[in-house]
Amino acid sequence: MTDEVILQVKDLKTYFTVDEGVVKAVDGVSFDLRKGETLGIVGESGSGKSVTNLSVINMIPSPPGRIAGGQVLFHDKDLLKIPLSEIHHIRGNKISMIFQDPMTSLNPFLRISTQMIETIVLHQGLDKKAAKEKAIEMLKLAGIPAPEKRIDQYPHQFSGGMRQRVMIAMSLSCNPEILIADEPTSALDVTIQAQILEIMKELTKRLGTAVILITHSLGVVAGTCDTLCVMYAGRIVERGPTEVIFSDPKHPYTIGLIRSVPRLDKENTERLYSIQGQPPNVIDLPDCCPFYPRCEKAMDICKKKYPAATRFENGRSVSCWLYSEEKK
Amino acid sequence: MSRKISKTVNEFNQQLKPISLWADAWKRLRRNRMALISLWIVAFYAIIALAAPILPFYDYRVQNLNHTNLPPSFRPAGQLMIEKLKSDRAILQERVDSGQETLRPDLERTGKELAAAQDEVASNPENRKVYLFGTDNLGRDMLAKTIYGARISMLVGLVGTLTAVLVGVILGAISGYVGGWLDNLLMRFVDIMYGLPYMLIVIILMAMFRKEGQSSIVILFVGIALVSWLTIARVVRGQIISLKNSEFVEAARSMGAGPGRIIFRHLLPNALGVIIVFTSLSLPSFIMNESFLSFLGMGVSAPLSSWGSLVSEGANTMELYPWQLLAPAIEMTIFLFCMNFLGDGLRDALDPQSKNRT
Amino acid sequence: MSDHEVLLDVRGLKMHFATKGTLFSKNKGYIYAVDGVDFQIKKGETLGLVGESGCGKSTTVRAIAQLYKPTAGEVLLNGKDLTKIPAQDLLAARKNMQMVFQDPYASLNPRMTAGEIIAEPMRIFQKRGLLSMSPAERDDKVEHLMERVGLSRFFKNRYPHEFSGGQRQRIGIARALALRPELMLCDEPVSALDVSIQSQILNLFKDLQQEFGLTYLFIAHDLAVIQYISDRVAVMYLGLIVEISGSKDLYKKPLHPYTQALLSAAPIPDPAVEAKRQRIILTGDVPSPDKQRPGCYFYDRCWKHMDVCKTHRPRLQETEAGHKVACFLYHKPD
Repeated sequence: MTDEVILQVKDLKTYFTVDEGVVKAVDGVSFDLRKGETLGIVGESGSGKSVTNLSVINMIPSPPGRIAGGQVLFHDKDLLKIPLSEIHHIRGNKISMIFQDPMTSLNPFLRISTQMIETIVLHQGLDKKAAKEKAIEMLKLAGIPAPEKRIDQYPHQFSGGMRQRVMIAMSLSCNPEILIADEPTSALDVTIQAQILEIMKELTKRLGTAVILITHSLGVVAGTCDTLCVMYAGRIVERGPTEVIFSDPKHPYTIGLIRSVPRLDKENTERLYSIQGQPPNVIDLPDCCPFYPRCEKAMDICKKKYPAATRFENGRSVSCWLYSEEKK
Repeated sequence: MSRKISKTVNEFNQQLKPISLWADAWKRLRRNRMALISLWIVAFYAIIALAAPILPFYDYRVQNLNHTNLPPSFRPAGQLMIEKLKSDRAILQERVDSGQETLRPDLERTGKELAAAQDEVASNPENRKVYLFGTDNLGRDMLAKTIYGARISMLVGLVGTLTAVLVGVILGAISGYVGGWLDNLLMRFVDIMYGLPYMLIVIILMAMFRKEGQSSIVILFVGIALVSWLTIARVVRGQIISLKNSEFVEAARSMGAGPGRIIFRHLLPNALGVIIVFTSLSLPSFIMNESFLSFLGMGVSAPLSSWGSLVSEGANTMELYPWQLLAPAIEMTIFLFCMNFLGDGLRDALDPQSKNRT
Repeated sequence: MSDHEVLLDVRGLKMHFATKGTLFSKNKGYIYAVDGVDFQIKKGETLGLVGESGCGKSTTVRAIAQLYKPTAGEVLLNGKDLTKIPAQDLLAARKNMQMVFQDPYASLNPRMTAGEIIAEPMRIFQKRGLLSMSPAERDDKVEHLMERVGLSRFFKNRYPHEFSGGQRQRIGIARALALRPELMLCDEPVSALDVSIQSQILNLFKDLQQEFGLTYLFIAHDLAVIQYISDRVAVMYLGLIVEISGSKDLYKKPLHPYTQALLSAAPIPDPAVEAKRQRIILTGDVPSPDKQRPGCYFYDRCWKHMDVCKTHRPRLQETEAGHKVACFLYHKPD
């Protein structure tokens, strides 16, 4: 991981208009991504982590959603403002994505070779033969046995874990600068998950790819990510290096989350800690800290205004009135 | 201890209104302009048809040989009658003037008729009637005829649809739930029935069982209902099969629920959306079938009339007196269009993907 | 706990599903979802059943609940074999054995209100004459249950779509408790929930167990969850139990290679620990249970396999007190 920042997300806002009101799925999200860094975005359902993802490459379905503000600067070019033709050149090429469900993200009617070659030919300008060789090489790197034979098969002939490997191979075949992985292992068994995460770590390290990993599992994040963003109700509540956040969590939500996950390596004899209440329904949320109904340390000001981010050293920031200096 | 549904607030002190699935569907239907307009039009038809006997329409059976083939008009019948006679006379006059002496006796006759008619108009209050849709060849009011025709058509549609739905839902549900050889048997039976030329069968039935003087409506119902339960059976079977393995059905079975309870309490209520949509779309098709049969003369017989028989009669005099065809045809077409739009709207509103996942 | 009586005794349970042959081919294949499972659960204890997809844990639980008719084996609840008793007795037995399901969105009938859902077991039993309760008593019970699982009774008339995932799961738990069963079969009840809600529901399970003296058969794929909630744990692979022991022992000293691989693959939410971990990465995929193999089912993926493992199938045998494992590393083949 170097210090060169390749992606800057500044105050990103994505809103959806539904019958009942406006869903502020992403409401002011900012983070930086450095070359070669693995950034984890952790959150529960409704936190907005997947929508953040899609917003970064401007793939929000336009009714009912819209990008309501902010910038996504990729090498100083705002991805939200450049024309469609330019975005097509970036998606799949400089920034690629893999999704959660390997069953549905591959076209069941096309062979793997067709799908992979299509991407490589489109973005790298190689001819079909060279593209096929590159594809086979990527499949080998991803750990698929006998890739020369398997490349001509159809997706249904692969198991879930294998399909995810194919997705990884496909998305890394154009040597992108950023790989966005949206819950890549949530649908997989635990032993397969370990395999996939290993492959991802190895390949991205070898190719120097930066990764944005979205997940709800703290265990996965602890094992793979350098930096971590914790999201709640459309905002990042805490951000910083993974080790530091786990050893010294500051935001009450992060503290609660870490304490409420049962741990394999410790004897869990006492009662598991649990955060009371449930994740909010983000329709028409009033201006307050969305965590206050569940927070043990809620204060009066938490009900009235959303706290701005307080910065700490080594890149940490927390959005909480407990740490903010402008408490009234 | 209050047992009312309370308007509660959530953790942010925002009001939470409870919404049932039906209310939600209604909201979506309301937003579909075409469907809403169609709903009102269909309701209008239904009210008029139901209330027809007590509404101030002329009796559709009354013949008035003075008022035959009058065009639709806001003016009283007497006036129209006189105008017609005058224009006939004027034509004859023209011809006589241009040399056809043989027509002179006719001219005199028409003169006498005119005089008689004028007396008639002055004396008989019947001639003050206003025929908004005109009259037919026996002087019967087209408006009343089409309204009563609507009653019959809509009745056929409704009863037929309900019968088909009842039979189809029960057979489809049993077939889908039980599966195995019973399902196979029933579905093969359905396949065979589909292959039969249904029109032919209905016609044969009508020809065999129709007795002179007796109303043929019942046979009509039976004939049409015989084949229309097929589609709904298949549709319901499909829904049941897809719902059969849901976890909530498993939960019911693990509690000891028997097949009856599972079918009627768990499976069918969740298939209601599909059933409603099918019902609203099959009603127009029933009416069309009936109209077709009546058009062929195999439907309802006089004095009852349906849209189909009216259209059939009107087709004979289409060139001379077009309103006799247009009135029932337009009335029927509007109704069928609206039912179709309504059915489409219902299908969108009852979309099961709407509220079940947050 | 060691002197408590055995509530559930499963012996030789097998569940084979025939894959349909076509009209012209007689050769029907089978899915050997559960291929000979034995275990006992004592009153008041929690047995965790863990394994990956295709291991047969869900099928086992459904076979026990008699939602599927077991192909072979016995399921003894309080001494009565559920596979052999007549239908009326089975219904009476169900009063003591209820299930909680995995998917909070699919396990509740979307057209019934929360109150109706919770009252349904009581209604069914009342209709069959196995319970007598007036409607007022029933309503009262429903409200009481709702409060006990942490739902406001004012939501009795709301529909499932108006509740969140965690709340729906609470409704499912209240429904399972309605008949005051002794045994609760829980099929991955927290797997579909958010992390912060998971811990709430797990605590609820523990509290209810203490208050009502419940016995749980708890399925999950998350090892940490199983460790937290279970007294004893059984690890399944391809339709067989490969290891079964007390919860603490299993995690401290896993014997079977598969258990070791599982534990090593499970992520731990602590970067310091994760950085130092040595992972055992298994090769290959989780196989599908459509063939019966002569030897150990884990042979292909086992890095410690021996020749004898290919030809003989190991049986579940005790190594230490309360710790059984099916592996030739610990027992000689007979």
